[in-house]
Amino acid sequence: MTWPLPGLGSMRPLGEIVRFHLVLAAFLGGIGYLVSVMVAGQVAELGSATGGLLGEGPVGSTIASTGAETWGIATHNLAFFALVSILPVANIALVAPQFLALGSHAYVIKDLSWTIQVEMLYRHTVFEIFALMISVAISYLFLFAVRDFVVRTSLDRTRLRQELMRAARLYPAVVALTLLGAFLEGGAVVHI
Amino acid sequence: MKLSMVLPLAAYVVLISWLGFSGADPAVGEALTGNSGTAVMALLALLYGGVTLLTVWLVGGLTLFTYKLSSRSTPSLSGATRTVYNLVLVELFMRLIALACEQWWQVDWGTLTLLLPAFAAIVVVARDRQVVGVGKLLAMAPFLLYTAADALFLLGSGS
Repeated sequence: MTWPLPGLGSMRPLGEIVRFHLVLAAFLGGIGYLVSVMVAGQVAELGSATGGLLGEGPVGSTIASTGAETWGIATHNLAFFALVSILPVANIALVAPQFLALGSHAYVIKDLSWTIQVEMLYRHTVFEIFALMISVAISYLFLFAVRDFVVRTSLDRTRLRQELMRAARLYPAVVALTLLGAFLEGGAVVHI
Repeated sequence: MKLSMVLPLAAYVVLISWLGFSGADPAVGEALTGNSGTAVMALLALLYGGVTLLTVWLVGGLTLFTYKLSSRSTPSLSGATRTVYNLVLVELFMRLIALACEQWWQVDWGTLTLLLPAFAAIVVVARDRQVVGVGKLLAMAPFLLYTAADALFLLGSGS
């Protein structure tokens, strides 16, 4: 199986790394969900989980974001993905809590209708997960380029520049996916 | 990783774990491990060991990269690796002294010891004739930035 992104056909380790992160994401999402199930009793004591998330809005209310919120989500996510993309290996500490939280959020909204769940969580999260995985891939492309440069006996700066540029070419995809995700998240209008 | 690197790193992890253990709030230890001193030490060693390995790998690797990038000709990899990782090790032990000063005598001037590895790094770059111009600034930049960030962190945590 070859890596699906163009120009990276020989990057088998990178494919393995991204697959590992996807499996880890599913695992941690499940853990986050299970933890929420276990603490559901305590959450219920503090107030309805759904009510807490939705600002205790009454049934029949509408929740909509503003343009400023959309921009805030986009800049926050872009900064986060930028950080993930320059921290190979260490970025797992940034990625893991996101998926634990995702599993927890999935539990919190599980009693809402499927349409609302999709609009509130899953619709934009798909794009964010894609952006996050590409950021992880970029971080390892940087790592491979730097590692190869350091261990090579020659001082081949041109090759290093080419490899770094190849990784950097994935950034527009991260930006596009992040903006799309933020637009969908910020533009969600939920009728309860 | 060579034994000459593993032994000092292991010693550092044991010492910093012990320092953390002696300064930890007993209530936290009891809540985490039921007042088992060994378990608290093991938890601390695991935590500090992971963070230390990641720090050495990241700071050392990045510094090796910038060092080679700044050189006019290919430096001896084994020589550069030894120099860079020794500097990182010295920095770790200096931060241990700084932490001990802060914990036992409540003084933050121990952080001044971090000047030693920083000065040593500057001397290494200054004496290297293969590193010229802007390269002199870039060569040890990751290590010096890490040392500066660590010093700020230590000064901040002490106040």
